[in-house]
Amino acid sequence: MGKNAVIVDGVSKRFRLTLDRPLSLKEAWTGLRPGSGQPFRRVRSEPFWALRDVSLEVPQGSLYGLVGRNGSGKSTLLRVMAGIYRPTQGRVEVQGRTSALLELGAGFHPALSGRENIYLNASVLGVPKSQIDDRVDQIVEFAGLEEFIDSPVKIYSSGMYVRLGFAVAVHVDPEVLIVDEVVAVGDEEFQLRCFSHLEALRAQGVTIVLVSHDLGMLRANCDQMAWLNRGLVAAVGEPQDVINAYLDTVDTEGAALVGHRPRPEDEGETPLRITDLEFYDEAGHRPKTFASGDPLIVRIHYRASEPIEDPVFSLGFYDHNNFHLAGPRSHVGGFRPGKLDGEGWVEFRLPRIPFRSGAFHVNAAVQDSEASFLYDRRAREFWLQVSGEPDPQANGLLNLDGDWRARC
Amino acid sequence: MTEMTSRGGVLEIWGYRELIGRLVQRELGARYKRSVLGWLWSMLNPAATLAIYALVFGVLLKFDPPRAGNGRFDNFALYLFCALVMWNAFYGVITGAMSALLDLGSLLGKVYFPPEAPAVAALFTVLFQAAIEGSILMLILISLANVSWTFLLWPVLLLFFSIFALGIGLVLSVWNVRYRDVGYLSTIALQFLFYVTPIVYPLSLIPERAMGLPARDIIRLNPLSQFTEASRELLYGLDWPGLLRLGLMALISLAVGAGGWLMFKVRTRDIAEEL
Repeated sequence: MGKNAVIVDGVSKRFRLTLDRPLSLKEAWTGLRPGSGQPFRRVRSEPFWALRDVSLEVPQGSLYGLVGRNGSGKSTLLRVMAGIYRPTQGRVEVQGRTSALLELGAGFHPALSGRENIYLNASVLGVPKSQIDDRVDQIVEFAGLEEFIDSPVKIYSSGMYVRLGFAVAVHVDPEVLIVDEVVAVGDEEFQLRCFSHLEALRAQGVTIVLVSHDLGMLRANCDQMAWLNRGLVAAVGEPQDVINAYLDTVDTEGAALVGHRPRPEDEGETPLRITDLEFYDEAGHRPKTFASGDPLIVRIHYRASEPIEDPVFSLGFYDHNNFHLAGPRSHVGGFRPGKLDGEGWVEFRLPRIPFRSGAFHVNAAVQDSEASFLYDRRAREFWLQVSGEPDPQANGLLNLDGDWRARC
Repeated sequence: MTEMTSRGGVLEIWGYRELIGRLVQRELGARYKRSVLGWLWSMLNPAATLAIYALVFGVLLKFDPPRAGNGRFDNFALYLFCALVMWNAFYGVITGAMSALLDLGSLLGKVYFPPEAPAVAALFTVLFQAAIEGSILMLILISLANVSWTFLLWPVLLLFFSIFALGIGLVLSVWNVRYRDVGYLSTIALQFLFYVTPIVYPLSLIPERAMGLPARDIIRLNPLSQFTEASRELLYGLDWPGLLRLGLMALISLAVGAGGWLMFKVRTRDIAEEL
């Protein structure tokens, strides 16, 4: 597993959104829009960076998951990996034959029959005809399209489209398989077959890059994961860590996908609840505003309706752009709160507030001692106001505690 | 992989010969396989065009063809056909390249292949058709005992001419994606080109000077004229156009072909985003 099948090195992708451009030579020549007779505005709209300095390494033979909200750049990243988009900056290296399954269906030509499209796709991927001849029946059977395979694919339903696309993509002996969240389209039975097939491919050493919103599936199957947020890699590493980081910022529906109810309406639903979050200074007061560099104590109030052994508390600090600044977790330093029962609090003590002026929201969550089950979570409710810059001219989010030296 | 054959490289098309073969096969299959009379059908259009032009220009307008190379006959239809085969190939490659990119371009957003592949497939499809037309023409000429070793040069001429056409077609196909009226304007331009090229008339019909301009020299300087005239010389006149002219035509073809190809490669680097 030492080698990487896919290396994404500092990739940025810019799209120019030129909404107002001439669509014909006539318009380009006259510089006038049709109908209105108004000239085109010469301003180009702001370039849109779909990916910003993304670096990833996908080890050979691994199943690599990508999460992120809609519009976070996942599909663009897959397209860059598949060679469809050219990175504006940076470099992508893919080892081996790459088969990509993006959006609905692979590259199908609507006017061609399913069978012709199988051959067309195979030839695009460089698979010799003789090899596909042997596989066609297998592909048709896998897709369950025996009756329709000689009809043009434009009459196919979206489900048939996806089934055929998946069947082709996995039967052309890819060494790297790139799959956008297409598998979710088929019915339950087909999804199951897809996953078992992906498993089988991975067992053969195929590298798989997978985008999905199904966090439970990703956690159960992925070797590694990355989370893309607004075109940036927000987290990369072990699936559990990445998912946790992701969930910290995602609204309740994201959490619901893994089966957690982060904020149960009914008191009885969770045995351990976070009831409040308070910010104290060292003197035990609760000022409205904290000075940057001052000590901070975050007190998490809980109520346990049954005895709970050593739960893990975590906090998430975010700036007003929802950028995740820090996420301390209580068990990391070996802290054990002991057996919780009834009401009480847990404190997180910060000797110096590193943040510069601004409003920050602090999330709190509590999980079981394995940090695998979420008891309760409160997000975007508690705001920390920081002011009192040592240097109001400085840039950046944080103040760093360094000092300067010189030798003259 | 070396830089030239790697993704986006100039010669990567070689790695996609399977795809091109598939596209050609699909195009030819649609044209020839579907009906028993497929082969005849595919000849119907060029045959009808030939018949109409021969009627209008040869019979009604009485354009005078020169004597054939063997000195035993003259025939306007055959004289016309020698140039028309070349024009059909030129027209076919350009319109084929333009529609191929539009037609298959949508696939480029979902799977990677060199965007020139559909145009190259169109080129081979047209060459196949031109080979059939050329063979028929040669068979007729042979049956009239008008044959010489110059026939052997004709396929080379056709190849160079289609490279020339491909260069133009590639450039137009990119524009065609960007501006929707390029197809419309190209049709007009091609019609104009057809009549400023000696196809339906012999070059000798053009006066030396017209409207104060050296008309015949202008027509002769049109690179297309060189190819249509050379085709007539090789097949009809059984004449050797000379090394200099052939070399010049080869040079122009390669220059236009390579120029169009390079421009296409640069302009289509981000084509998946445009289609």
